[in-house]
Formats: sequence, structure tokens, C-alpha cells
Amino acid sequence: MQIKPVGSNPFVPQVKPRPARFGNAPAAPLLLKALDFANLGTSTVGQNKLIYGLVIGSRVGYSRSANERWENIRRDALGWYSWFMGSPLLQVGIVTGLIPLVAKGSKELMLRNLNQSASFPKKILYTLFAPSKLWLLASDKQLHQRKEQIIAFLRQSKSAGKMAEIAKVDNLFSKTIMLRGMTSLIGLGFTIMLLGVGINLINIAMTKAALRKNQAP
Amino acid sequence: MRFANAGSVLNSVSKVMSSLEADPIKALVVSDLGGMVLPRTAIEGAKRGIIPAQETFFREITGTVTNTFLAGWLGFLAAWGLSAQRANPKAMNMKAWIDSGTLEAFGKVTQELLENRNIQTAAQLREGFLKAVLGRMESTDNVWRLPQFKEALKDTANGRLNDNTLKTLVDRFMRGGSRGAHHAFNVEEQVMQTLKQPEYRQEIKTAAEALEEKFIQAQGNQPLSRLQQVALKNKQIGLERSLIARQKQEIRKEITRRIRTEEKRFLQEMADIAVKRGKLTDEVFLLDAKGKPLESLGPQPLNGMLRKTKHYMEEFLNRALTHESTGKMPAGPLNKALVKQRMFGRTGKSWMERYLYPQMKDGLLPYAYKFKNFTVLLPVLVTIGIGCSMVLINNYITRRKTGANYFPGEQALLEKGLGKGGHA
Repeated sequence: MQIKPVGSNPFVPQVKPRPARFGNAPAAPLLLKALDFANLGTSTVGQNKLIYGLVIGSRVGYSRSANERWENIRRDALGWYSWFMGSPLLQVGIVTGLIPLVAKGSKELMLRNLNQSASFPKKILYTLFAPSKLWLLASDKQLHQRKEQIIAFLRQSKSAGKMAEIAKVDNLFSKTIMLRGMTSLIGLGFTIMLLGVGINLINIAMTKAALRKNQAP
Repeated sequence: MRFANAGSVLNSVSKVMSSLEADPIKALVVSDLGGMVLPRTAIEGAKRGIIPAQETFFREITGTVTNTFLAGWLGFLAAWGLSAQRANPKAMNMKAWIDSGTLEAFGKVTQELLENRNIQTAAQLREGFLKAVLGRMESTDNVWRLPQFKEALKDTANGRLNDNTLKTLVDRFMRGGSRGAHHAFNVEEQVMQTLKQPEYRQEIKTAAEALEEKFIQAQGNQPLSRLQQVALKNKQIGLERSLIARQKQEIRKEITRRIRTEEKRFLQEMADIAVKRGKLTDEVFLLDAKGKPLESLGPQPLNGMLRKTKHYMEEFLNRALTHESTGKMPAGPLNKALVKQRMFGRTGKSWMERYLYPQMKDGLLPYAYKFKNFTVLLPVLVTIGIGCSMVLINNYITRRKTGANYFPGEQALLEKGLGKGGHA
């Protein structure tokens, strides 16, 4: 009788030694990284994007007619994009295109370019869907803090023209901070006009046109 | 005069906008209510009629609540409901919330330090962690990169904290500075010291005596045999263990509640030092070991990063370094394998146990991720369910009012007239 080794017996369970599971810091699950709270109790923009996206799907899915479906798609899809990507993109456009025309030096204070070495297709993708990966606008508070830091340094200087220098920096930063606020206001205003007013009127006009077409002899 | 007034109006507008920009959720609420709910309802009412306006109002208002608030409220409720001992045996403090992306980044820094041969003691590890995290914060703005301000911001060391300020912050976090004030506490040591107080020992003694009395009564008040005495002793040991675990959890909750209240002033002070002396600003990137911003995290508020650093020290790092029975950190060489197990170890036989149920034996990071399944993913799922059912409720309300299931927007336009080329 040939004696087979235990390992080859199909009726004996094979016990594989478990590799050490505590050598490395575990990666956080992707869903958790995308949806986790920054502070418990306050919804995040990431959660908002997902929830609103799926709610739009439900509205489109439960539409009671073709016209309602198209109205939901136009209004809500445009709303989703404009809210999360369109408005930041518009603000970057204002800072890069318009602000250099009215205030010299403010654009460089406000705007930081990121991922300059990214490939062209990646840049297109970022431009359309993640503008904050390519451009970062300084917040009002950051500009205030920088102004205070630079003026505090200049005050310690013993040069003769230090008061003029301080006035120049104060003027530049004050103008930039005001323009920063205006940029946000224009972005918000545009979003409201487009989503709150414009798209509604477009929907009504297009539904009327569809109804006319249905009723045409 | 007119231009001065225009300037002050613009400044006021700028201040309002900056407070909105600082809080993205506040901005979303303002734009939602002011930009969607009100104008859309008004236009529908004017152009179509009362039923479409009512549908629009319901749709937009419920959209605002579910998109912007509901997930947060449900997450808070879930964490509060699950903070009981059974669901949260390690008594992790819910107010010391660290998002998963930052937790992962901090975990990688901890691993990097544990694998560093120069780090041999607990104090070196803690100090190394603080230097690595605080020293890798880079201001997100462009001002420090401009040549005209290089001289004025020369303290900033390429957008990061300079060495002196870094040293000050590390010292304050570790020891509270020269005043020995608030810092990143070793909560476990405080828990073990509090546990020694007489009232806790008395509770265990009273419970053990009550158990003995009950046991003897159950045996018919007869003298106990040797076997019965052993059985009683085992029960008393089990009772003592579970009571101590509950007491530790309660004491830990109480201590961390007090720390959370007292730390606001400390964190504000650290932020002021980082900005005024360290020349950082309100928003920072966390850099990786090679000096590149961590893309998955993105820009983070400075106050938030300082808070999370402190909370990671108290809830994770310090906890993994302490001796279980004394709560003290060893002064001598670290048992790095043990620290890694306490930080990163994932236990459980089945998939559910390994990835879903938080257990006492888990390492601190896997425990936190498992706990977040119930306090993050579940509330988001429920919010999605509620949000997606709003359209059904809206349609039902219209059906009840009008008696038919139809899109009132069409009917209203037909009744009002389609205009040029259409029927009256």
C-alpha cells in the first residue's frame, strides 16, 4: 500500500499560514476616503455630489412624460455641473482673463497653478471635471494673513522709504482682497442667473416647442 | 463721496463673500435657497401656475435638505447611537473625528517612522511624528512663491514652517511648552490613574460580593464544594474584567470630553504661532516624504490639520505606545512589532469580522475604518434612499390634488397657450 503524504489527501483541510497582517498601515477604503466627514455632523461636498447625482437619476427615472424627463435632464444635470465645476471654472476665468486688465499684480497674488507637468489629456479632464487640481484661488483670509505678515516685516525695516513700501503693499493687497470677493460674487451671481432663472425659462420654451410640434397637423 | 461709498459697499460685499467662501456648505445653502428655491418657484408660478410652482418648491426644498444637511445629521445620530460600549468597545472619541484620507496619510507617516532605525523610543516616535506632519504642511497660496515677497517671507522655508517655529510647536504639542499647559495628552495614563480611585474599586468589590451571595443562594445556601468555589472565582474574575472594561470606557469618555472642551484655546494658540511666526496661512497642503502635495487630500484648513494632528496623537499614537496595565509609555526601546500590531493589526476570521465589525482586538486604524462604515457609509446610503424617494412623494401629492398622474408643467402650458404657432 502506498502511503500518500497528508498534504495530498483531499479530505484533510489545507491550512495556509496567514501572512503578517500588521506590517503596513492599511489603506483607507476608497468609498470612505471620498465620502468621509471632515467634521462629524456636517455634510461634505463629496457627499453632496454623490447624493445630488443619484437624486437627479431618480427624478429622471420617475418622470411622468418625455417632456418632464428632458426638463429634469437639462435643469438638474446642468445644475450639478455648474454648481460643482462650472462656478469655480468661471472664477478662474475671471481671475486669469479680466482681473489683469483692471489690477496689475493681483492675479499672481490670487492664483496658484498646480500640476503643470500633467499630460494634455489629463489637463483637459481636470479642466472640465476637477478645476481645483489645476488652479487654486487664495481665500480672503489667506490674503489678509499674507498682508499682515509682509507689513509686519516691512515695519521692522530701517530703510527710509519703508512707509511708502508699506502703503504700496497695503494698497495692492486691499485691492486684491476686494477683487477676490467680487470674483466670488460674480461666480455666485452667474450660477443663480443660469440655474435659478435661465434654465427654467429655457425649459418652458423647449417644452412649449415640443408641445407645438405634437399638436401640429 | 460717491466713490468712497461704492468702495465701502464693495468691501462689505467682499466680506460677506469671504465668509461664504470659507464655508462651502454655507455657500451651497445660500445659492440653493436664494438661487434655486425662490426664483424657480416664482418663475413656475408666474409662467405655468400654482400646481407646478408647488411641485417645484417641494422638489427644491427637499433637495436642499437632503443634499446639504441630512447626511451630516444622520452621521451624527449614528455616531451618538453607536457610542455605547458594545458598538464602540475602544471608546473612540467621536469629537476627535479624523477623515479617512488624513488618517491614511498619518498612518503612512507612522509606518515610515517605525521603519526608521533612528527611531527607537516612544518619545522619539511621537516627536518624529509631530516633526513629520507639522513640518510637511505647505501653504496653498502663491504669495510665498513670488520673488518680490521672498525677502519678507524668508522665514517661511519654502511655504513651510521654519525650524524654530517647528521646534516650538513640537514642544508645545509634546509637553505644553514651558508652562506645562495643555498638550497632546496620554489619555490612557489618566484613565489608569482615575481607575485607582476608591469608588471604582468599591464598585467591583460590591458587585463581586453580590455575585457570591447570588451564587450561594443558587446552591441552596449550602457550603460550597471545591469545584463550586473555583466556578465562583472564575465568574468573579469575568465580572471584574467586564466591570473594569466598562469603567475604563466611561472614564475615557469623561476625560476626552473635558480635553475637547479645553483644547480650543490651545489649538487657536498653535494656529496663531504657525501663522505669525511660522508664516503659514489658513490653508495648507500636506506633503509626502518627497515634498509633493498629497493629491488625494487636497487643500486642508490649517486649524483642521492642527486639530487632527493632536487627535491622532491622543486617540491613536499615544494609545498604541502605552503599557496596558499602567497606561504609561516605556522609556526604553520600543517593541515596534507590538506597536505595529496595535496600530495596524486587522483581526477576525470571516470577511465580515475583518472588514465590518469593530472589535476590541483590532488595531486602532482598522478599528476606526470599520466604525466609519456605520457612521459614514450607512448615513449616506440612507440619505440617498430618502432623497430618491422625494420624487415619488412629490408625484403622489400632485396625484392627490389633481386626481391624475401627469406632468402638470405640460398641462399648465397648454391651458395658458403655447404662443406663436401654437393653439390657444
